[in-house]
Amino acid sequence: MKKKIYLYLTIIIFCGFSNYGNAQTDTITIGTGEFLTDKVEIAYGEKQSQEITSSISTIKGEDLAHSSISNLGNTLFGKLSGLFVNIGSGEPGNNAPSYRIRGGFRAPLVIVDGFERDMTYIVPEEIESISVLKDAGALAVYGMKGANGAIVVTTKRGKIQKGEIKVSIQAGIQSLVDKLETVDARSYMALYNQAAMNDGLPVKYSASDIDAAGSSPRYPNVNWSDLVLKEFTPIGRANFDVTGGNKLVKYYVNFGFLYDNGIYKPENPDMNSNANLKQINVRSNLDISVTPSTVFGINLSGNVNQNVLPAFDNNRIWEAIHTLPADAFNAVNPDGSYGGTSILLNNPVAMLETGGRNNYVSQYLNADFRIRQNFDFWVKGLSASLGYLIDNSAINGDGSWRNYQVKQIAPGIGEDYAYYSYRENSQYNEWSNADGTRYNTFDADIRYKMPEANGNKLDVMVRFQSDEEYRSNSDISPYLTNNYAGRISYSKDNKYFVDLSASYYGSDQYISDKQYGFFPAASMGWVFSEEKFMEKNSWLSYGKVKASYGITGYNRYVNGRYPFVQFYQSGGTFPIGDTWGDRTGLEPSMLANADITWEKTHKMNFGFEALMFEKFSLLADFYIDKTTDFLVIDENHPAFTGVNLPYENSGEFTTSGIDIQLGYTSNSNDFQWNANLIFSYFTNTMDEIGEAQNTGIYSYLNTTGHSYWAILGLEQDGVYQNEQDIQNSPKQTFSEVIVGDLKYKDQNGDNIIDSRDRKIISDMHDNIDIGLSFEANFKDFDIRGLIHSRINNIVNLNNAVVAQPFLNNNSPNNLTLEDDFPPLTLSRTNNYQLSDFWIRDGDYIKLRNIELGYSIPNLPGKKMSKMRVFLRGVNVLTISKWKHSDPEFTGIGYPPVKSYLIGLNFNF
Amino acid sequence: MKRKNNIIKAIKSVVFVCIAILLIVACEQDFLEKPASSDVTIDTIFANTSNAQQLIAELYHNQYFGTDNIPLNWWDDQWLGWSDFSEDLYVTSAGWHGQIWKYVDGTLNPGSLMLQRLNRTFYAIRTANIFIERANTITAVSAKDEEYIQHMLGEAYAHKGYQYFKAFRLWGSIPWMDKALEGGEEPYARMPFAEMIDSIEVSLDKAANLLPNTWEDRWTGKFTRSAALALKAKILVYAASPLYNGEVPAYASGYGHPEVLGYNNYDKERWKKAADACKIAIDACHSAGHELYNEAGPERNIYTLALNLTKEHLLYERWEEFNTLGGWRYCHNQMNYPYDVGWYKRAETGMQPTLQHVDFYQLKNGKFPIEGYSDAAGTQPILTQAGIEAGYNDQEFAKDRDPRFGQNLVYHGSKFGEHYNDKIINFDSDVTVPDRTRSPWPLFKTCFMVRKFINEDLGEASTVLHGAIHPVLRLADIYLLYAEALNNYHDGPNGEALQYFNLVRNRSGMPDYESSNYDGANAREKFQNALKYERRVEFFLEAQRYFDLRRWKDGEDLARTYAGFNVNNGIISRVALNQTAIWKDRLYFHPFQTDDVNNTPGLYQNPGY
Repeated sequence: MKKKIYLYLTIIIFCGFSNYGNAQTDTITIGTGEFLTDKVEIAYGEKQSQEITSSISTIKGEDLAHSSISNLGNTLFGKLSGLFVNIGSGEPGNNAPSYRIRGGFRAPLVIVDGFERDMTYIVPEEIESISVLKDAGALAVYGMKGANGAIVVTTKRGKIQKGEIKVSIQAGIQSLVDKLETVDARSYMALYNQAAMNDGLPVKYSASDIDAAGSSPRYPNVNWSDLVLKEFTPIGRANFDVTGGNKLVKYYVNFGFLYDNGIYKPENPDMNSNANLKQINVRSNLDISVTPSTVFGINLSGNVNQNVLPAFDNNRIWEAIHTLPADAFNAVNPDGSYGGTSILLNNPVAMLETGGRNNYVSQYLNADFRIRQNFDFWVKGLSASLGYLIDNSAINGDGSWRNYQVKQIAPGIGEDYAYYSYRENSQYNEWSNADGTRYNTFDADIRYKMPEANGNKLDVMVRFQSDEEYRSNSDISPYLTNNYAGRISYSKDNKYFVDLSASYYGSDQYISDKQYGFFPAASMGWVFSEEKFMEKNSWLSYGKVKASYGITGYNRYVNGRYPFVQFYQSGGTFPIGDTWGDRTGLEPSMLANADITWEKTHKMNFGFEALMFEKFSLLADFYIDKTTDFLVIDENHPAFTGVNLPYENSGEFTTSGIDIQLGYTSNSNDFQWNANLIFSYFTNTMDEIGEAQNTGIYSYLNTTGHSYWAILGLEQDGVYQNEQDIQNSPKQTFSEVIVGDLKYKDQNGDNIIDSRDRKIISDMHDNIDIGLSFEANFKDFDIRGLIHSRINNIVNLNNAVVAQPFLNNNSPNNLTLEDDFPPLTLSRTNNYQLSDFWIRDGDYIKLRNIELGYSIPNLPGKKMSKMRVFLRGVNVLTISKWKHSDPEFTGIGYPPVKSYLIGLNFNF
Repeated sequence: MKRKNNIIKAIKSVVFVCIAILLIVACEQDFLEKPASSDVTIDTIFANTSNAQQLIAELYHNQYFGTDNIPLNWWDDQWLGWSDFSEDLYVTSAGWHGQIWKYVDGTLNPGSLMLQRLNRTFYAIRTANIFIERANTITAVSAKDEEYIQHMLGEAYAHKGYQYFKAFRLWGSIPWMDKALEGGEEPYARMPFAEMIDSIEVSLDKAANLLPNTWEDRWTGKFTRSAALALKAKILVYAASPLYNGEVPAYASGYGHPEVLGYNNYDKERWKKAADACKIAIDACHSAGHELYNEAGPERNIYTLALNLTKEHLLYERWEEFNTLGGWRYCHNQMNYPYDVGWYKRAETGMQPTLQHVDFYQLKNGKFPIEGYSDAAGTQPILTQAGIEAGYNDQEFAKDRDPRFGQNLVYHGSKFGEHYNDKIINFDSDVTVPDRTRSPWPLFKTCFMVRKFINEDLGEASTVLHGAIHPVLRLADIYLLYAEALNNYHDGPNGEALQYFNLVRNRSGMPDYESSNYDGANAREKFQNALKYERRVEFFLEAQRYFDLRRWKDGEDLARTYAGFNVNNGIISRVALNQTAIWKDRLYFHPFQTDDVNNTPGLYQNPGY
C-alpha cells in the first residue's frame, strides 16, 4: 500500500510539472469586499453569497493556515458562527476535536468534495473553503444525514495558469497548556495526617517521617509530572503544492508532511514508547477536458499515518501523573527495579520505559471520478454527470505490552534495602490487528441553468446517490442508503430569491415498507436594498432578509443493524457439569422495534444580512429547531414486561438560538486591517425523553423539561458549623459527617438527605461561543490572531478522581489547598456526592493563535514571487476563573497542547 | 417567442430527467434489502435441542441465578451481598461498602440507588415463559432428544418458581406472568400472595414431574427433581412463617392491598403442608444419593463443605477460577485474606465480623457463654452462668467454642496458611510487635476476618486457583426447615424434628438438643431459638439470615450496636465501633424502585414508603 502511494505521488508530481499555462497572480483579498460576489459552497453546488437564502457560514482555506498545525479541526475555533468546536486530547494522532452545530446532539455530517468523508487528515493549504450548513434550506437535500448540520469542505482545483508552486515550512515546540500538580511528599503526609485526624484515626506519619521526606529512598519524594513529562517537544510541518493547467488539463497537486512528537520523557532505546505521529498526505485534483463539452474529473487523495503510542493507555499514565502521591514509592529503586506497591502498580516511568508500545499505521486512499457532459448543444444550460467513488482505509496496528515487576522497600533502617515485590515481569505479549473501511458510492445528477430572461433566473438540480459503506473489515452487511434529491432555485431581478429542495431518502436500517422518508425545505430571501425606496440610503449598501423552513433527518444506527428484527445474543458464561466446562447461554437482545424510524428535526431560520458604510458586514440568524422521533430507551413500559427495552422514537427536543457574524474592514494604503466577530448561542429543552416521570412533590427529580445536558445532583447548603448543627440538621446518608462537611438541602423535607433530594443543579451550559479574529497589514508586516471565548462553560469535578484526595489512594493537589475545600478524609464519602459544590465556573478567554509575519520585498530574481517569514503562537494564553488546569480539558488524559512556531512561505 | 423556446426547453429537460430517474429507480429497487445471514432469532433457537438448551442455560447465569450474595462484589451494579449487613459484620464507610449500610441505617426508600429493580427478575421469567411456550416446537431427532426437551421444560418451570421465590422474600407478591409479553402493556397487577404461592407450587410440581433424578455428568449442577422438591419445601416453609401466615403486620394496618403481603390469617395446616413437602423432598434427596457431608471430621466439615462440591449440595452456583487477586464477579479471596500471609498483600479487608456475631457462639458443651451486653455500645458482655463456669474471659475468647467458630472466623491467635507457612494470626495494633499479620488499612477495626469460603491454599502462590462454589440449596437447610415445620405444627419438637436437628449439629461435633440451653416460654419457642442459633452459625455467609429473620418477624434482631476487639501487645480489649444498625418494620417488605412503580400500573408500592 505504501509503495503504491509513493508511485502515485511521483506520477502526480510529474503531471504537475508537465503542464504549462498562463501565469496569474494570486491576490489575497479579505473581509467585506467579497461579501456579495463570493462563491459559497452549498450542498452539491455553489452560489454567490447574495443568492443564498439559507443559513451558511463560510471561511476560506487561507484563513485557516495561521493556526494549529497538528490537526485541521484545531484551526476552526471561533471562526464559523454556529459551529462549536470542543477540544480533544493533545496526544499526537488522537488530537481531533469534536464538533457540534447549533447545539446538535450528534456530530455533524462532514462532506469533502461532495462526499461524506473524514476531514481529520486534510491540511489547510489544500482547502479552498469550508462552509457550515445550518438550516433546513441548506441541509434538506442530505435527507437522513442532514439533521445535525454539515461541514462542507472543498479542496482546491487547478486553473488555467502557469504552474504555481507554494511551499510552506513551519517548525517549533509544543508543551502542555496546563496540568494539575500533586503536592510534594511533606505536604502529602501532613494532609494525610489531617485527614486521619478528621476521621478519628491515629496519625500515620510522625514528625520525623515528614522531616525525612526526600532524604533517602526510604522516604521518597517524587514529582511525577517532572519525571514523566518533558517541558516541550518538537512539532513541524512542511507543505508543497502546485496549481496550474491549460485548456486540456487543470491540476492541483499537494504534498504534505507532519511530524508531531509526544511529551513523555522516559526513554527506552530498544522500544521508545513516546507518542509520536508521522503523517504524509498527498492530493491530486485533475479536470481533464475530454471533448469541448465533456470534463472528466479525477480526485485522488491519500495519507499515511504512522502513530506510536505507549502500550499502557493514556488514562492509566495520566491518572498516575495526576494522582500518585509523591511519597508513594520510588520511580526507580536503589537496586534499579521499578517502585510500586500492591495497590499502586501503575508506576508511570515503568509503564513508559518497559510497558511496551503500540504502532498504528493507517492509510487512507480516497478516489472519486466524475464525468460531466454539457448538453448546451441541445438545451442551453443543461448538463449531466455520473460519479463513482471508492474510499478505502486500512488501519494496521501491532504492539507489545507486558506486566512488569514493582518493588517496595520493606520497613527497616539504613541503606541495606530489603524489598517486597509485586507481580512478575512477564514476556512481551505481541498483538496485531488489521481493520479498514470501504465506501462505494455511485451518483448521477442533471442540472439545468436556464439562461437569464427578463431578470428571471432558474436553476434546477436533480440527483441520485447510492451509498454502500463497510465500516470495518468485519462488517458482513454494509450500510446501504439511497438518496433522490433535487433543488429548484428561482430569482427575480436579483431581489427575490426562492429555493425549494427535497430529498427522498432510504436506508436499509428500517423494515422494508418503512425505509424511505421525504425531507422537503423551502427558503426565500429578499434583498430589500435593491428596492427603489432604499436607493437614497447611503449607509446601507446591501441588506437582505431571509427565512427558511424544512425537515431534516438523522439515520441513527442504534442497537446495531436491523433493529426491527428480534435477535438473540450470547449471554453469560458459567461453569457447569462434572468438569466445570464453560457453558454460554443465549438471551434475547433488545426487543425488536418494527416501528423504528429516523429522527427528524424541523428547522426554522430567520436571517438578516447587511453591508454598512462599505466597511461593516453583518450576518445574523435566529433559529428554532424542533427534533421529533428522537431515539431513546423509553422507560415507560411496565416493569413486568421483562424485556431489554428497545430504542423508540419517543424523544422530543426544542433547540433555539442565534448566530451572529460581524465584520469590519479598513483599507488605507499602508495600513489595512479587518476584524471579524462571531457569536453563537443556543438553548435547549427536552420536551420528552422517555423518562419514567415522577409526579407530585418528586417532580423536581424529572429531567424532562430541562436541557439535554442538565445535571441532577444535590444542592449544597453551606457547611456544618458545629456539633449542634449536625444534630439539628437532616440526616445525611452518604457517610458520617463532621464539622465543616458539606451540608445538603433537604428537597423533599423528610429530614433524610439521599438520592431523592437531588434536583437540576446545572441546566444549560457550554452554550455561548465567541470568536474575534483580526488581521492587519502594515507595509511588509502582517499580524493576525484569534481570541476565542466560551461562556457558561462548567468544570464538573463530580466523580473526578483529582477532586477526591485519599479516597482512591490518590494524592491531594492544589485544588485541595483551596480555602473552602471540605475537610479531608480517608474514607467518608459525604462531601464527594454529586453536588453543585463540585461544579465550577469554567468560562474562559483564550488567545488561540497569534502570528506575526514579514514578507521580504524586492525578491532577487524573477522565479520567486513571494517569501514570507513568520512567528506564531497557538493556545498561548488562557484567562479563566478556573486556575487549577486547562478549563477546556479537566478529565484524565493527555491534555491539549500549546505551541510556538517559526515558519517560511515561498511562492514560485 | 423566446419564452416559448424556453418552455420547450423546459419540457425537454423534464422528460430527460424523468427518463433518467426511471432508469435509476429500476436498477436500484432491491438495493436496500436486508441480506440473508446467520443471525440468531427465535426460529433458529427452537430449531433443535442444541440451540434451545442455550436459552435455558442463560437462566443459570449469576445475573439471574444464585443467592445475590456475592460478597464485596463492588464492581457490579448489584452492590449488596445479603450477608454483608445481616451477619453482624462491620460496615466500613468506604464507598463500595458503604452502599450496603443503607439497608440497615433506616434510610432505605424507593429512591435509594442500591435497590434491586424488577427487570432481572422478569427478564428471567420471560425467558422461562418463552421456553415453555415454544418447547413443543423443537424438533426432536430421537427418543433421548425428546426426553431432553421434557427435562429442559422442567428446568424452565423450576426457574420460574425460583425467580418468584427470590422476589417474594424481598417484596411480597409481584405480578404473575403467564406468558411472554412483547413489550405489551396489558395490565398485570400484583397477584394475591396466596394465589402466588399456589402458582409457584404448581410450577414446581410440574418441574419435579419433568426433571430427572440426576443429570448425566456434563450437566450436573442443573435443577434436578430433588432440587425442585427441596425448593418447593423451602417456599412452603417461608409461606407458613409468621410474616406471611398471620394477620398483616401492625405497621401495615390500613394498607390498601394487604392480600399481596401474605395470607392475612393464621392457619396451622400450612405448617403441616410445609412439613410434608420437606419430608417428600428429603426422601427424594436421599434416594438421589444426597447426604450430609461428614468426611472431614467435625473440626473441618463446614469449612471443607464451603470450598468443595459435595453430596450435600442440591443446587449451587460456581464462579470461574481465580487466584487471590479475585475475579470480575467474585472477590471472596482478594479482600478477605489476612495481610502478610499469602503471596498477595491486599490491605483492604472485606468482611469484618463484630463481637455481636462472635460472642453468640455456643461453647462445645452446647451452652451460651454470653447472653447480652450491659452497655449501649455493646462492649460490656454479660456472662451466663455457663460462661462463668467455663471460665470465659476475653483473653481466651476462642477456648472451647462450637467447632464452627474456628471454621467460620479468622481470629487473633488462630492459624492460617496450612501447608505452606502456617502463620499464627497476629492482629496486634502495635507496629513494633514482630510477626504481625495485621493489615495497615485504617478501616480494619474488629480484629476478626472470615475463614468460611476463603481457600487458604491460594496464599501459597499466584498459580493456585479456586472456583468458589456457593450453595443455593443444601441438605442441612432442608433438614432444619423440616424440623422447624414440625416444631410449629406440633407445638414443640417431636422426635423426628430432633432427629434431623441433631444430625446437623452432630456433624459439627456439637451435642444433641438440650432445651435448658435456650430461652423460651414453651417447648416450641425454645426449639425455635435453637433453630435460630443453628441457622445463624451453620449458614454463616450463605445469605439466609436476613430472610430468616424477616420471615420470623424477628427484624429487631438486626438492630445492633457493633463492637470489636483491639489487641495491644498481646492484651485483648473490647472497643466500641460506634456503628448502630437500625431496623424499621417497613423493611419486612422492601420498596419497589420509584421508576418501576411509576411505570407499572398495578404495582402497588409496599406499605410505609
